[in-house]
Amino acid sequence: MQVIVVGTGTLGLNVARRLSEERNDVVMVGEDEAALRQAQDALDVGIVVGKGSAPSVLLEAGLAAADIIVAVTPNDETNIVACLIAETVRAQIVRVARIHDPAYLGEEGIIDKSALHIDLVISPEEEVADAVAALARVPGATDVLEFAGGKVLAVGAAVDARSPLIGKPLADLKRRTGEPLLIAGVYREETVSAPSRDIRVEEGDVLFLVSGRPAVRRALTGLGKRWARTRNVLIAGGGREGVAIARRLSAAGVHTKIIDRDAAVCDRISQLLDDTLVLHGDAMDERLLADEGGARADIVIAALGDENDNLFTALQARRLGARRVAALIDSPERMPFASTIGVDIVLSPLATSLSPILQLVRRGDIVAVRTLRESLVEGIEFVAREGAGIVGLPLALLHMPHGSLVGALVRDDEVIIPDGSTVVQVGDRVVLFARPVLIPRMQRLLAPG
Amino acid sequence: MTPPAPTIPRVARRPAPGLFAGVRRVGFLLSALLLVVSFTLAAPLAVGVVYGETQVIGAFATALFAGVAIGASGVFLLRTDMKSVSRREGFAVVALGWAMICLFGSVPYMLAGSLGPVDAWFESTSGFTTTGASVVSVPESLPHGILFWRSMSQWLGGMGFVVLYVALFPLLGVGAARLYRAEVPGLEAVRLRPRISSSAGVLWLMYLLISVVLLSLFVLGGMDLFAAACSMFAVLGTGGFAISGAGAQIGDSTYLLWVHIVFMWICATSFSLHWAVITGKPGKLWRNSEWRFFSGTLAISTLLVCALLWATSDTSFTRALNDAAFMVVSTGTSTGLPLVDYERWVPAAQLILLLLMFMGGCAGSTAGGMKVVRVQLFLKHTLHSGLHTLHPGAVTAPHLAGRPVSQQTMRSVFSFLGLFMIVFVAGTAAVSLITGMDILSSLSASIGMLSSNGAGLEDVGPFDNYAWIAAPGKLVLTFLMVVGRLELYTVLILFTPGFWR
Repeated sequence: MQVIVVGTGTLGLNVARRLSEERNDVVMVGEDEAALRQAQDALDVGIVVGKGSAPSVLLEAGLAAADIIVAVTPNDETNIVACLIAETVRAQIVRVARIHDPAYLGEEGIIDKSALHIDLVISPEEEVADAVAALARVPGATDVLEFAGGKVLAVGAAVDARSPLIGKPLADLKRRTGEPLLIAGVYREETVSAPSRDIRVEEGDVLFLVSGRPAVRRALTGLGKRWARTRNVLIAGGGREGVAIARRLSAAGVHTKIIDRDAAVCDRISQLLDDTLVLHGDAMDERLLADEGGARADIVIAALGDENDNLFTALQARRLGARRVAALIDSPERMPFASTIGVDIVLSPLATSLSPILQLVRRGDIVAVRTLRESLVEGIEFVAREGAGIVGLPLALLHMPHGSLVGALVRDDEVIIPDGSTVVQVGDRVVLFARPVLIPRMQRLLAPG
Repeated sequence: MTPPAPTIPRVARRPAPGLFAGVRRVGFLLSALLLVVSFTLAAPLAVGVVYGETQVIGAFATALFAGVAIGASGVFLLRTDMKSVSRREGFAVVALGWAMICLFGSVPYMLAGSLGPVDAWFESTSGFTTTGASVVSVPESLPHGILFWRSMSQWLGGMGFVVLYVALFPLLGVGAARLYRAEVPGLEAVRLRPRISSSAGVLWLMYLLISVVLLSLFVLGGMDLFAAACSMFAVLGTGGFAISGAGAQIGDSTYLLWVHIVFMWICATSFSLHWAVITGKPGKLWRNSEWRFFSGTLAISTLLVCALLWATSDTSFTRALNDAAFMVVSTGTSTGLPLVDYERWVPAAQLILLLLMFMGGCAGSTAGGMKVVRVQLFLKHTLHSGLHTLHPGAVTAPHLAGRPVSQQTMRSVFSFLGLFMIVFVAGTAAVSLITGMDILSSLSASIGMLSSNGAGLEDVGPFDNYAWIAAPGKLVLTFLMVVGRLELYTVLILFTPGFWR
């Protein structure tokens, strides 16, 4: 597939990296020549230096034959114009744009994304708010991916020092759960390994579990976690992400506090957020964090402007005793490090923003794409159609590549945790997990023909 | 309710990655290169079979078998994750790969009993670097299989076997870009498609297409298939090995003469322009200032040389024009295919040829030399400096193809040209010291090797050969060939202490 990525920021680079790794032809467009050269050195992509909203620049980038344009500059207007030009030159092109200003998304009722001819709007802050909302619904988990409208959960569960499972084989957890449960993988030392008989649970492991909500609850309890509703969330940082998270959580009935060090920002967001307590102060100040209930919070989310500040704030909250601490980290190289030093939840607005784009480039009847842990694992939910490779044979006979598995099926509203003898039927919703590199090779399973 | 114990895990110290990981990757890539090049030996082997040359068949079969065996076992034993090839490893693979392939290419010469070890190394290196300097005085005396391999090596080296490898094995990912850039000449490596592996594939496909066209044109002009193939290889790689002592296989045919001229010119043109023409954008050709400058230089030099020849000798105008055009294009494209003995020309005409050697062809072609675009930028910058003496307050930015050239590009052009001259002067000194040749011979030999031209003046003229030079002299010359083909830095960087730290 031929892809044009407009914008050389972190999101642009991530989209380009991911799509080029999957053997798409990617051309990056931007005005920052140094950033483009660096990108070319690090990724296998073409580059064109120039304004992303200039028709000649887009044509040079191969617009006439492109399949997708992803406009993710920090400037809404540039992204909109790039999509408009793309549609003029090539009507069938799929247009993806990052838009910040809610006025362009229909908030004022004058114009919306369809009037702007944009197929998919990317909003990293909304994506991350979704992720936090999902995490709030599963107490004790470090990662939560929801499929089939929340019927199927894939969760990460960290094994802490008090877990009764330490030193025991993985099968013990299944026995304790007493309901169908799939242990999809074990995250240890920055990689995910497939579950096997030889693995003994260790402190610090993160187990990836797939099942329906009741089974997940029992499994987490079996691991020694307390299943207590998320009531109090403290957010450090009143930027776009902080506000989006606060808005989503308070709508779900969670008590939220948001701390920002800038009085003017506090003033502005207090007008935006009705149900949230806005506090003026420095969240990196341990005493303020303690005074404002950092120790009693169910989740402390560090969403300051700087990743290092986020790491520090999250660790400090953990030291105070917060039940779960989360940090916004976008650089892929820092994510595993953050987990290693004790940040329970690593939230990446960029990585989560990639998911809807990946959903577009995948062939077949894809309902959702979610990525786990710096994109080590990708979860795909799709509807099994007549003729797709996955239909009609027991899973054991499908010869799925090593590093991929079917996590769950939803048939007639019922969640099925498959084993080797399970046969996928037409119309089933399938949730499949795989290492991203394998997915282009698995298209045959996903889609007919 | 007590809060859970506030523990922060300690970060474990990770063992430092061993040097072996890098060595292993380099070893793997070198083995894979050897494997790819080994298979090309099947072609001269087939030629040996057709002509029934038993010793040649034995030589190529042995080399092919050994190369495949060594390459395959290396690939198998050293297989590793190739996603993280570093820039340093990229340079090491390309530079060492060239040394290895030149060495491997010399094996058939030795096994067939045609040449001794040093001569075989010289001939092989000269072929792969498309220099076309030879130690063989009577090429007709060589068996057909060996002659074919000698010619074919220019063709492989012209587009580059690393490029071929990248095209054939697209799984290399980002590492491919590092390898590709270290081999492909020019300011920036030609990128016809967004992905490196597809770029490399497109380059080789175009190369094959031009090869087939030229081969058919040669056969139509009355050449036998063997001579046509060998001449085609020499022209495509802008190499310049002739398969007879008389030089280019042209005879009296004006048609063949001009087919040679046109195709040498085509092959010294950037392949991104060929791509533009093939994809229906021939307008890019005229708008490309490097190409206009290059073609203009060749045309003006031809007219000058033609006028000089016509005025100073009793040759007919057509003959003068044909001779001038052929030798100017052959020299200016760094092919160095001999046709007439230009040493009998007036000195002014010889000087024009000598100067053309420095510039070489366009960036992104198979030609050698400094590359037209660098010379062009140098001239532009110099003119701008002149403007500054006249208008001290002038603010100027040299443009190329309608785009301003960045300071960084300009700096890299100047350092390249400076380094080129340093290597040229050092090469001249080394050649004259070791071989004892006179100044003009040493000078022309040095630039002849560095710009992959192959022929020089005096002792190393177009119809002389390098057989008489002692082994150390040959080694210096082959070093210059490889340095010139890989545009200095890829090789020279290996000799800096910083590279090994």
